[in-house]
Amino acid sequence: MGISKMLKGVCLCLAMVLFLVMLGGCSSQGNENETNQSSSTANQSGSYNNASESTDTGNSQSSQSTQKEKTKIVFWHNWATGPSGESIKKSVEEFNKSQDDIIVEPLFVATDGGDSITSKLLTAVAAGNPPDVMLASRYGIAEYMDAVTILNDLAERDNINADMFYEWAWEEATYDGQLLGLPYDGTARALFYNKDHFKEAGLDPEKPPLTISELEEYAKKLTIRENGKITRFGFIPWYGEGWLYTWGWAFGGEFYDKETGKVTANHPKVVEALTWMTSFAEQFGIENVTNFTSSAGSAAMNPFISGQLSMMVTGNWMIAQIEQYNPDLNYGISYIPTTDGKSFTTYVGGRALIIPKGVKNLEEAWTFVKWMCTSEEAQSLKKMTGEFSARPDVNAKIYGDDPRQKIFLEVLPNGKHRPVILAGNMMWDELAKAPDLVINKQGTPKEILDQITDKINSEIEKKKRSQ
Amino acid sequence: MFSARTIAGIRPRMVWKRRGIESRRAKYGYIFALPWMTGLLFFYAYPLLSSIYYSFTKYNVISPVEWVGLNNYKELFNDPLFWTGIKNTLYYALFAVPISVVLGISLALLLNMPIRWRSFFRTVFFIPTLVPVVATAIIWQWLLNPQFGLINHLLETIGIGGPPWLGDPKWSKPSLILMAQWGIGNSVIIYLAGLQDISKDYDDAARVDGASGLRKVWHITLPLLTPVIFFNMIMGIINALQVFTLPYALTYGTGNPANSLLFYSMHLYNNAFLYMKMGYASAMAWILFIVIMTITLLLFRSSSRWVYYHGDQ
Amino acid sequence: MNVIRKKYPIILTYIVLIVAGAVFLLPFIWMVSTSLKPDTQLFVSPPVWIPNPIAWENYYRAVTVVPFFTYMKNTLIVASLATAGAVISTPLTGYSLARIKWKGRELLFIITLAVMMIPSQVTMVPLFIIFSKLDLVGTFLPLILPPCFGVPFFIFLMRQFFKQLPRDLEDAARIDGCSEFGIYFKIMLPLVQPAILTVALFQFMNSWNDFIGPLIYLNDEAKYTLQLGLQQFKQAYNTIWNQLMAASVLVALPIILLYFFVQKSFIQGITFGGVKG
Repeated sequence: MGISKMLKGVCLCLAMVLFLVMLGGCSSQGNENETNQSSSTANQSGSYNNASESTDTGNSQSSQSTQKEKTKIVFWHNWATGPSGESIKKSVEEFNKSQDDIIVEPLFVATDGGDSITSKLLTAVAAGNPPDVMLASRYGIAEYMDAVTILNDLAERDNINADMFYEWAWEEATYDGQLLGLPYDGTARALFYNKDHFKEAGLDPEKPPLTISELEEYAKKLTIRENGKITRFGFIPWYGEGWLYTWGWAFGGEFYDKETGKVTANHPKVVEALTWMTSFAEQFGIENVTNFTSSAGSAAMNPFISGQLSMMVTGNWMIAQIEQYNPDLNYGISYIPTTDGKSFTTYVGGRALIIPKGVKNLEEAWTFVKWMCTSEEAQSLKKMTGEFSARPDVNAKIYGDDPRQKIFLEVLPNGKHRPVILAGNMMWDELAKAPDLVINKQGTPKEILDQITDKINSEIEKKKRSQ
Repeated sequence: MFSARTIAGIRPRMVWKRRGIESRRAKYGYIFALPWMTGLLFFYAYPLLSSIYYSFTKYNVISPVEWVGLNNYKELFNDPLFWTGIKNTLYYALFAVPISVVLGISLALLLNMPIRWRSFFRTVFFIPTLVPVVATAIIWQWLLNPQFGLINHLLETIGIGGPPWLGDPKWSKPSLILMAQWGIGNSVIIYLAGLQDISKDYDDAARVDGASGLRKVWHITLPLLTPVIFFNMIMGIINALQVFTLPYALTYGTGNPANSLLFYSMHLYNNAFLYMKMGYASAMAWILFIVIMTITLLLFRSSSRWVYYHGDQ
Repeated sequence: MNVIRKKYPIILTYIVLIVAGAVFLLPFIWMVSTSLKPDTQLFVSPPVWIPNPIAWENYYRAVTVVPFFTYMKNTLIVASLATAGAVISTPLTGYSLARIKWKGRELLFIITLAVMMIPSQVTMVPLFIIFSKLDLVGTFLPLILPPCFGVPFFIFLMRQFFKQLPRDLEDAARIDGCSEFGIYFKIMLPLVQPAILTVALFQFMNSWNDFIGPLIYLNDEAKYTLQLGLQQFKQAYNTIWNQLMAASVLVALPIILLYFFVQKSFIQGITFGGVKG
């Protein structure tokens, strides 16, 4: 009976029953053992049946809702809780109330690293059972555009066009004239600065830096050293949302040439931006800076919120986080400085709603997408998340009277978006690593950016050839 | 039920009969292995074979597959990140595996001693494997924080200026190897299970011979534990060469600083699911497969010299 | 003299275990501590170890913000069925590979080893297509079925354990008139109890902690598992660390308890194993 004793500890009742049955006894011969064997398989399949029974009840529950004559639309998104989760829930509720023919069922799909839910989408599309609608980061869609329904015809039929949206929103949802999805929202970046630190350092808290050289000068004044150690940084170019994209555009560079369809990450102005970013680190001591940035870690441990960093480039969502973690922080928001102190811009991201290829209820899916992305009702709900609507008129309504959003609303129309290319994710990864590679002496800014440009362009060529 | 003495008495009579029994038993070999062979066919063979096929194609999961011959493999050899991944992964495996074998056996031996609170101690060393990886990554970032981390703080009190750990490409891999030892609980369990199986008779015999503690461990316990050590080494190598979760969570998939934490599987994953190059990723998987297989086979070759199976005598 | 010489190693053992144990417990202590912190103490440095005030409500929120107990129930179903399957199937194969000579056994063993060496990322899509063709996507079966047929890692483990058992035992049993199945169930299985317990624990843990499987195979929030539930505390720009950690503690506790019992039976195994007559 040693076996049953041992299994008590693990509480595997199922296995225990089975083992007892099989304990048969020593003198038993062939035949009986074979029956034992078959009883074991019966028992095994019995346990499978349990599982399928419980799943069956699950199915019948969900199928009850389809018994009403509404068409069910499955909508994948990756926000379960928090303001974004609430806004999704609310939007779906409003939509379901607004008409009688369609019922949208939202399904939370966890991201598999980063912002993407592509592993689930890809497996589902490959097996032929995709969702009807999915929320996706706009810049990456072109890379899997074979999996989405091109929406040009539907948009044209229903008079939905570029004029309703910001230029960046519509363009980032379009590849080579093909509409991959409808733009849903936008995120933008600006310079956040600590007004108390400005006062301490003898700077005017109402006059944030406008040019790159002013930014450098202020950064030096705001940095505090104690016993040779830097205890507070004035500014670190790539900390937060200071990506190479952010600075490349601030320096007047371009990452993509529409005429030739080539990536231009080695544009002289982008090289200049990268050189500036990294030489900035050298001024403060590379070790000091890397110590600081690797100490700072993820967004929630933000050194700007805790007062260890005086200025940082970050997104509009930081407003809500400051409110949560340090509501007393006395801060201001300004333009991302540029070389000439004029022509301010911002790097804009955001999502689109896409309809995967091969969905059964294309019309109904489209009705939902259209409502989410164009109706004032749905777009106004973006206020819950603190992000921007893809439509200028809606933003003016929901954020027009909020002074913190003033700068954002001003630069949004000039916003720049990442190029829509077949290797958008790879380009993002490569560019994000570039400052780190330069700092660690893997090459000069020019060399690194030349390599990246070649790599992305040849990657795009390879992908095009197969199409 | 069967004492060692009666068994010893029966043995000589049995030897001549064995051959006939073996051939009759062969049938049961198949019967016992049948469930697994079925599973192998269903859940492993097809996915494996298709991944070989895909490694010779351009395949993004969605569009039709296009045969490209050896192009993926050729392209791989020209991909600097492929070589970076190999270099980093081999470096990691070379240090992480031996360290974890030595540490694992030592811990298991200690935890097998007749001590008080044994259950408690055994649980303690297992617990880190249950902390979600994101939490593990975060707490290590704190402990190894160059400015206010606990470890550098301790080093400072004895007058050593601590390195930037994860911030410096020279220190990042050693840091990760250190972190990985936290997850050693799983192999400790297997060593413990192995120690349980080593018959108490041997202990008694050794005691009669008057062997001291350490000598007993070295001459009796360790040789008997070799099948388990062998198992853990092979699994350690397979896992080390596929290392993914911790560095991925730690660097958000980037492999920073300066690609020093970009491991082979991370590059593979990015190609498969971010860059939509499933064919390329499959080729990567097969190269990794060949590397692991070669190392494993070499180890198996060597095993007859140092792994001792009781049942084989 | 003698007494001192005998005590010395034991004392050393305690010292080593306590120091090393403290290091190993750190992450868990930090996790528990974080789970009890109010928002404002989450990321202060130097870190706060003992929160003040203690925010018990994190635990309440952790189980109410997401349908925690539904997820727990689902995870239990999946994990226990998968464990039962693995505990039945893997010793069978391990035994066959270790102790019965048959044609093709070496080949099967090599293939078993080989399938562990292919990263799961590339087999994921073909495997999904199979389950999709069987119309099982959206049910628990893709998560339960594979271990019921065998898991390479466990098969290898069982083989190693069966291989080191003395031959004499089964010879003696054969004399006593035991059938092959009798030998396996009555003689051999009890001898590898610790290994079976290890398999049970590992399979339970694997199913319990599996993230990518439930992610790609489940399509209904009512069927989600705990690991998918944990992901829901990650928000668009912010992770609710204290609630995430509270939920993580609740997710880890059952396994810790399970382990506690399993390793206790490691000790019982010697007493009840029956080898020592």
